[in-house]
Amino acid sequence: MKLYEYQGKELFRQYGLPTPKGVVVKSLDNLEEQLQSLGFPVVVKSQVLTGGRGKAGGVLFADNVAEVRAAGSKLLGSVLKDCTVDALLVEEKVAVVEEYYLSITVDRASRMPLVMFSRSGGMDIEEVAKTRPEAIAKVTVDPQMGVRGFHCEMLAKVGGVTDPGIKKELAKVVKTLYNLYYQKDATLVEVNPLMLLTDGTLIAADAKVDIDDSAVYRHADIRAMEEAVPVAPLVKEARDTGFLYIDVDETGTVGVISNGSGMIMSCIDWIARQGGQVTCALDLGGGATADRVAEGIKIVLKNSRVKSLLISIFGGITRCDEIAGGVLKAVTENDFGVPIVTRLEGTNKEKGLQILSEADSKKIIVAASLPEAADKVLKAQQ
Amino acid sequence: MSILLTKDTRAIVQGATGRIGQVQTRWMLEYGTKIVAGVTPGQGGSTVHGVPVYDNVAEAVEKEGANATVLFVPARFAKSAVLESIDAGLKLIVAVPEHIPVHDSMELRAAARAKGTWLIGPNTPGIISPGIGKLGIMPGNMFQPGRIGVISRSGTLAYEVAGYINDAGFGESTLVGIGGDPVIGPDIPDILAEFEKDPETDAVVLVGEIGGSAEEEAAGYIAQMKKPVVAYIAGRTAPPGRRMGHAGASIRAGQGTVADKSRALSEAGALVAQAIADIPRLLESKLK
Repeated sequence: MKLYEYQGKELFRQYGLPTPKGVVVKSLDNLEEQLQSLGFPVVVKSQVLTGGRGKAGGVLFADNVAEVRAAGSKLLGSVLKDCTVDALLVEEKVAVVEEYYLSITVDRASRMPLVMFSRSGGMDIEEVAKTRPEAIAKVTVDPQMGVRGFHCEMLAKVGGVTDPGIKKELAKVVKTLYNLYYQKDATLVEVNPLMLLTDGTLIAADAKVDIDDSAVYRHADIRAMEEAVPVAPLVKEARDTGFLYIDVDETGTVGVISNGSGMIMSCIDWIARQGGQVTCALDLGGGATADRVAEGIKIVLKNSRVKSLLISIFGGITRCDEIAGGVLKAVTENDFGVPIVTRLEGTNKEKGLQILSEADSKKIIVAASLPEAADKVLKAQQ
Repeated sequence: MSILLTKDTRAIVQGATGRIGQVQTRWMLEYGTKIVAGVTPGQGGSTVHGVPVYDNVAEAVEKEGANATVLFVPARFAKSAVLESIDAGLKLIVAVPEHIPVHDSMELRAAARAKGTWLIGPNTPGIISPGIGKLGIMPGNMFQPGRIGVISRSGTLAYEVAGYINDAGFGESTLVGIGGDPVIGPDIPDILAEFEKDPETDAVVLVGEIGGSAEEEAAGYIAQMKKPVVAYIAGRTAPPGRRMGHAGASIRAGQGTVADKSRALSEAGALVAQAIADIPRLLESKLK
């Protein structure tokens, strides 16, 4: 779950990492009052969950309330790289000496936390990564050990920070950010730029924080932030039911329900091979019961682009009789008008097929293999 | 023979008394797996399908000589349960649950490695050595004893692949579902090395997925292997930047695509199957 910059900065401040003084503006009413605690000039930043905001024109500067209003009317409600701007963060501009880059991610190669630091921060960090990778210091951290002083020494040395005062300040920020990363179950914390001010302190001018979806349950404060993040209705409905809904392709016509990401991708691959295109997919995960399967079918068929539905299950922990029961329940209780091709394999397959044989064969088409199912789900649209 | 799960494996089931745990315990027993105990805190003294249940792992080790475990505990209790088994000295831990927080997984991986424990998963269908036993949720009748080692990131896809291997008359020595999450216990070369050593495995089938770089990193080891490796990567038509499941599969900034992985694996000498159905033909080209 990605957080907005202003939400990430709330966490930063909670952990003791300073940020510029700022105000979140969602409406331009009483703007003067909203901004009264700020000094000018200010930066007006669109709050969107996408990178490259600055280059896309989502960040403007203002010297007074009137200019903030002008920037605000331009930005609020506008669409920036597919994201609608619902909020602005208006922040005091700070006097900067240097712009650094600092991030902590989950490194998929070492499967450990990875801290990256560079003195060449700012908007062009991706360019730096490509053309001068040596300018980015990288340290993996043993998760049982956490970030230690020696990690910070290594980052400073490779990153080219020699001033003892700045080194000390950097170590403090790295440790603070790591605590947040660990304690809040973040999979990404990125500060770009991390600004070195004239007084030698470091301040987080931006915040990118991504929280592990599987861990949101154990953070009440993050759950509260979740309310502010817009989610597509079907994605939300699926999530509330415990499923994962994936928008695959807007031009597609086939819906897929399966269990496990590998199986979903195989279905999408097979349908593409037969000349079709999947528009959306739903991952049931393991062990879905008949009632929940029926709920899942209803969710996918709310997508009007779905002209036929493929349900492909390889039952391990999931039982084919539960799946079949769910399919039958869904078509009995609803009039979808969309053919459903079902392919069952694995645990309790025979029981499942028995249940399906009782259904109307126009509404539920049974297939014996994935290639056959992919073929039938496309033919059913004709 | 087989790898990891052998005739000497004496397994416990953590969470054996739960709804899913009970059913899976029965199926593992029916398959012939040596399940010597169940462990559920507070349920010690009861039994599940005739298997004694203990309050903690250390007791099960002491009383039943357990050396392996399979977990069916809710994701939020998984970290503590796995740490308990590492601490009790078990040598093989199969972590079935999905949705275990990635920070928990990172710590568990590090803890298991520090103690020389095999951690399989999380988010794995488990491990099966056909004819010997299974620790996990895969349907036993989908597998046949044989001489092909299988490594899979995906659960359901592994079953599909085993079907094709069986139909071609091969069968499996051991199938290891390494886990579908971004952070899992084993690295692919760890398992490849076990198959390379195993006198009863003739070839390995590697079932990968888009995302990450695990398959690319395995290429270096595959290049030095004597046994043939056939690979299949799922996600040929997946859109970039989108997560294709609960787990880790997604393509980021042009990395981890099917093409990248196929190229790295081919260069290392692996045969790359374009479709699952091609796997038997590629195996035959090397083994017959």
